[in-house]
Parts: sequence; structure tokens; C-alpha cells
Amino acid sequence: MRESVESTRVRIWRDAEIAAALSEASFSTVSQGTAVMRGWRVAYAVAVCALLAYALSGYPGAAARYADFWGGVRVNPLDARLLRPALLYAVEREGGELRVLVLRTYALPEARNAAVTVRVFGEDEGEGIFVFGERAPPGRLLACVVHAPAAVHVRVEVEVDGARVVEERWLGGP
Amino acid sequence: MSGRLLEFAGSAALGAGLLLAWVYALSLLGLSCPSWDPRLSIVPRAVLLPLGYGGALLWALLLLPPSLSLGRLWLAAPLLAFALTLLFGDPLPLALLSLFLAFKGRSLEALPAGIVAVELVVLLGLAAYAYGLRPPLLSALPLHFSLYCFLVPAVPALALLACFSPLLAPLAPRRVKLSLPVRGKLLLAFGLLESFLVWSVVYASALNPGARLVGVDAVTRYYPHALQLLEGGLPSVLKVGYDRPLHYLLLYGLARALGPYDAVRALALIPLLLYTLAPYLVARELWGGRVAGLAAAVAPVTYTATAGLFGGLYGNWTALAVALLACAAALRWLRGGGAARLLLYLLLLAAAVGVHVYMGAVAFAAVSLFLLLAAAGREWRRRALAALALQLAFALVGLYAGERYFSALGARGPLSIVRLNVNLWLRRAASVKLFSEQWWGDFCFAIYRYAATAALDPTVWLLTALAVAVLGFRDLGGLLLASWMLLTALLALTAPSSLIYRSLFDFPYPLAEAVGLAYLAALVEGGLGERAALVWVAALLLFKLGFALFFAVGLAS
Repeated sequence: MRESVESTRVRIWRDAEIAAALSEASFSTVSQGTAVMRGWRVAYAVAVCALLAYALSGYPGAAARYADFWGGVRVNPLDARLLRPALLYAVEREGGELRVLVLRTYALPEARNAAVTVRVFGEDEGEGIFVFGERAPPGRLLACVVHAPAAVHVRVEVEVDGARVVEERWLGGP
Repeated sequence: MSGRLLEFAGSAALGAGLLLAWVYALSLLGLSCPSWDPRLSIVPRAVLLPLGYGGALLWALLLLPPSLSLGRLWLAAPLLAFALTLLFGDPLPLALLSLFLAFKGRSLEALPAGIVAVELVVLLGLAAYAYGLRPPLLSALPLHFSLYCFLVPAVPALALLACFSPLLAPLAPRRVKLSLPVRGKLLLAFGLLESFLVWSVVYASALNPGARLVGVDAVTRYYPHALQLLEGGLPSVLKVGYDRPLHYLLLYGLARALGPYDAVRALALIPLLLYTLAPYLVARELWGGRVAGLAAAVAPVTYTATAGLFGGLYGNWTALAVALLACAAALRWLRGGGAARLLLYLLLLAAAVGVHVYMGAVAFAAVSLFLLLAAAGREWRRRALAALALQLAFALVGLYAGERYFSALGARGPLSIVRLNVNLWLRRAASVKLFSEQWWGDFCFAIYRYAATAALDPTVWLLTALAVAVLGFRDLGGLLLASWMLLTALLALTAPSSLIYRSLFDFPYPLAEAVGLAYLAALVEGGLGERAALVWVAALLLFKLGFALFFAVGLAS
């Protein structure tokens, strides 16, 4: 009787040992499997990143051609001229030509056209008048180019939907 | 209720303050946002903050409620920031205070609330402009531009990311939860309303008083062809519209009933409405009514709608909608069987090909791939293979019969159209060096210029990439989107430059965008609660509506 109890105990011990060994083995198999999967996942992620990097390598050069689509103008938000329909943004001299840059602001948002009159004054008090009819949706920077090699003073009048804006600027010598 | 409204108003005030700070930062960088103008083509619009001292005072007032939540003493902060703004002649103090308050408060709830407020003002302004009203308000458009202009330089890369999205699927999280705290039918009604609104801005607003035709194909193809159809009668439908006979049958019917001019205008409304309903039905089969509602709300304001209106691609667009209806029938067949469903699927797929041969062929190939992938799973194998075999047999018989019939009429048959397009494609594919600078030049041209800024809504590409990646190749929805995207990507990456934007057009974006939005909503709901998820979804939907309506205004004005 005692022997049989002992043998049963031993059997239970053995079974427990075998079970523990089995579960350890299965656990290590699972953990090894997970590690392998993780390894594959990392390798795949690296491969996808490499493919994306290769695909994007030609992109910056091509996109740079569209830089004028997102390059714009800087105006102080507190500049009161932003509340009028247009403002004289800059006057640039290029050789004998003047580039008069007019910014159509977001005031009068429904207006789509602007009449720009550029009066150019020379040192000898001579005057030139140039008139431009421009499509001017809000936010557009208009460029009016006039030939005025001797200009020293520019007066720009912009009319948008009946509202008139006048600005003047003195220029350095030619 | 009033407490909730007050809380939302407080959040919106902080969000609007944050957005003002964001526009201030962008205006310091001097960014622009390209937009479409019918006479100038593409115009960069400066992102400015036309604040003035009155605007600065308003900004300070917006910051009062979030300051109060920190304590009464904090009420002085906005006034101090305003005084400093006046002193320095620069709104930097107000911008810094907005950032500080956002950092202290619940900025992730405030930001979408601010976007909702701003977009509502933008939409009101656009609607007022479209219907000839002149509210004495400054335009809020710079704030709308500020939401996406910083991503404009990256949009072609984002479109490529969307094309690559099936590759990202194995890296996405395993468990995907989709959630949405809005009723689907409400969103379906909203989507239908959006369709009418977009159409009416183009054809029934003060911007287009003579209701001139808008859209490339509307002017160059549909109107002259409507005249030809009226002259030639019913038999001329196959001759004039050899590559879209069913669509031309519809055009002929409309032209007879309404006259050629109004027929073309009505032709634009049909895909808008059909394409709102079709993604709803497919998404309802796949993910339930709520995600379906989102798909319906997105459909009239996504890339398909904006590019479709610009190009006048009514045939492609209608065929895509009919193909989606076919998908809804196919999904029902795969899940529940029934010969009637299978027959309906085959008929609708054939109708999609009949409406537009090219678009129908793309949809046919995409659905074939989907069925092939579905057949790999044991659950749907038998029905998927049956549908695939039947549709291939159907196609072979149709091609043979069509070729004979059209040849007898002296018109070009479907097989020769397919052969022509395949040859064009192969020639291009043989000459192009994928991802070279020249290839990117063509791709950028398609994104920026060919579709006239229609592709510049970054949410289309981001949400599509997210959805296709997270769904992966798991259930029927994932299989459908992934197989359709694989085909679209294959076409878009190898297409001749003039056809890249039309290849990108071939994908059912509303399905993917709805899943992307619902996935984001589930993430936000998990972190911030249901109300925050609702506000984020509303913000994204209103942004998309603002983008589409602004685009429609540009087309019509």
C-alpha cells in the first residue's frame, strides 16, 4: 500500500517535471518564434524605408521647380494697409525697368479685378503714366513692369471694385 | 446643454487663438498657397494675417475664457499681451500667450474646435460670395490656407505614400478599431446636401449667372457630342460614344428632355449624387452604417469630385460609382450567397464598363484581384472563385460580341480600345525611369498643374495611406482597398504624364478616407473621450468641405 502511494507520488513528480519541461520548451519555442517574427518585421521596415528613400531621392529637384507656388510675401500683421484692398509691396529696379509689386489683400474678397495706374516721375520732372488692368483675386502679388530708366519717384494708384488706394515711393538714383 | 455650448465656445476661442498664432508664424515665413483661377490658371495666394489693431484686440478677447480657467488673476494676461503687442507693433506676445494657454489647457480638443469655428466662417463667406451677398467681413481664407499650405510642397510625396500604402500594411497595428459617435444616415443626408451645394455653386450661383459650362470635357466633349447625338438620333449613340455607350445613352436622353446645354449641366449632378450613395452602400456592407455615413459625407468633397468637376470627367466618375454599386452586390454575394446578388453584381459590373470602358476595365481588374485574394481565405473561396470565373467568362463573351458588333458599325470596338491603351502604356513604361527626377517632374506636374490644384487636399492622401495600411489584407474591406490601390498605383506610377492624374482618379477615396477618419476617431476617443473624437471628425469634414467649395468657387468665378 505504502509502496503504491510512493510510486504514485513519484509518478506525479515525474509528470510535473515533464509538464514543466514541456511548457518551458513550448515557451522558448514561442519566444523564439516571436523574436524571429520581430526580426522579420524590423527587416521589412528597413526595406520599406530604403525603398521610400530611393523613391523620394529624385523628388526635391523636381519639386523645386514649383517653389513659386509656396514662396510668398511677408507683411507685418498689424500693418493697417492690410485692411485696404491693395498695398504697394515693393518697387524693384532691374536695369532700365521698374517692377512694381502690388499685393491684393483679403479686403473686398469678392472683387477679382484691379486697375493699376503707375505714374513715374524723373529728376527733370518728366512724367510717365502706365495703366494695367489685372486679374487680382485676394492674396495675389501683381507685378507691373514699366520702362523708366530715369525714374526717381513712383506713385501707384490701385482701384479695386470702386475702392482706391494710392501709395508713393521715392527711389534711389538710376 | 448650454453648459456644453459654453465649454465648446471656450475651446473654440482657444483653438482660434492657436490658429491665429499658427498663421502669424506662417506669415513670418512668407508662405503662399496655390489656388485655381479660371483666367490665370494657378495663382499663389499669400497667407497673410490681416489683423490690424482691431483684430489684435479681438485676438486678446478670444484668449480671455481660457485664461479665466487658470484663475482670475490670469485675466490680466491677454490684456497685458495686447498692450505689449501695441508697444512692439508686433503680435508676438499674443501668439506666445496662445501657445502657453494651449500648453496649459486641453489643446488637442481646442485645436479642432478652432478649426470648426474657422471653417464655418470660411464656408459662410464662400456661400455668401457664391450667392451674391456681400457681408462686411474680412475673408477668413488665410486661416483656411494655413491649415494645409505648409504641406503643399510635400503633396506629391504624400500621393506616392498613398500608392505605397499596401506595402505598409505588415507594419501597421494588428487590432484595428473603427469608431464614430455620429449616426450614419445623418451623415448620408449631409453628403447629399454637400453634393447639391457643390453643384449649385458651379451651375446655379451668382458666380456663373449665364450658367456657362464648367469643366474641360463638359466644353470640349459632352456639349458638342450632345449636339451630334441630337442630330444623329439614337443610332449615333454607339458611334459617337463608342468608349462610353451607356453614358452617352443617358446624355442622349437628357439632351432630348432638357436640351443639350442643360443636359451637360445635369450630367455633372448625376455622378455627384450617385458617387455619394455608392460608397455609402459599400461601406455599410463592410464596416456598418456609421463608417458608411462618413464615406457618404466625404464622397462629394474628395479628390474624385474636385478633379472630376475640373476635368468634366463625368463618365469616369459615374462608372466608378456604378462599379462601387457592383462591389456592394459582390460583398453581399460573398457573405450570404444568392444567385440574384451574383447576377446583380455581374450586371452592374458590365454596366460600369458600358458607362466608361477605361474606368470599367480598371474596376473590373481591381475587383478581379480582390476576388482572387478573397479566394485565398477558406471562408469566401467557393463564392469568390465562382464570381471570378463568371465575370471572366462574361468579359470574354462581351469583348468578342462587342468587337464584332462595333466593327460592323464602323466604330472602334472595346478590344481595340484596350489594345490602344495598353500599347500607349507599355511604350511609356518602357521609356520611363521610375522615380528619376524626370519621372518626378511628370508626377509633380500631374499633382500641381494637371488637376489644377484639385489634388492639393493633403487629407485625401494621408487618410487613404492610413486606411489601406491599417486594414492591410485582413478582412474583405482591407482586401478590396488594397487590391484597388495596388492597381491604381501600378497605373499612376507608369502612366504617360497626361494620364497620371486620371490614373489617381481611379481609386474609391471615400471608402479609404472614411476608414481613416473612423480609425483616427477611435484613437482620439480612446485618449480624450467621445466628444473630442466628434469634434476632430467635424473639423476634418468641414476642412474638406471648405477645400472643395473653395475649389468649386474658383472653377465657377
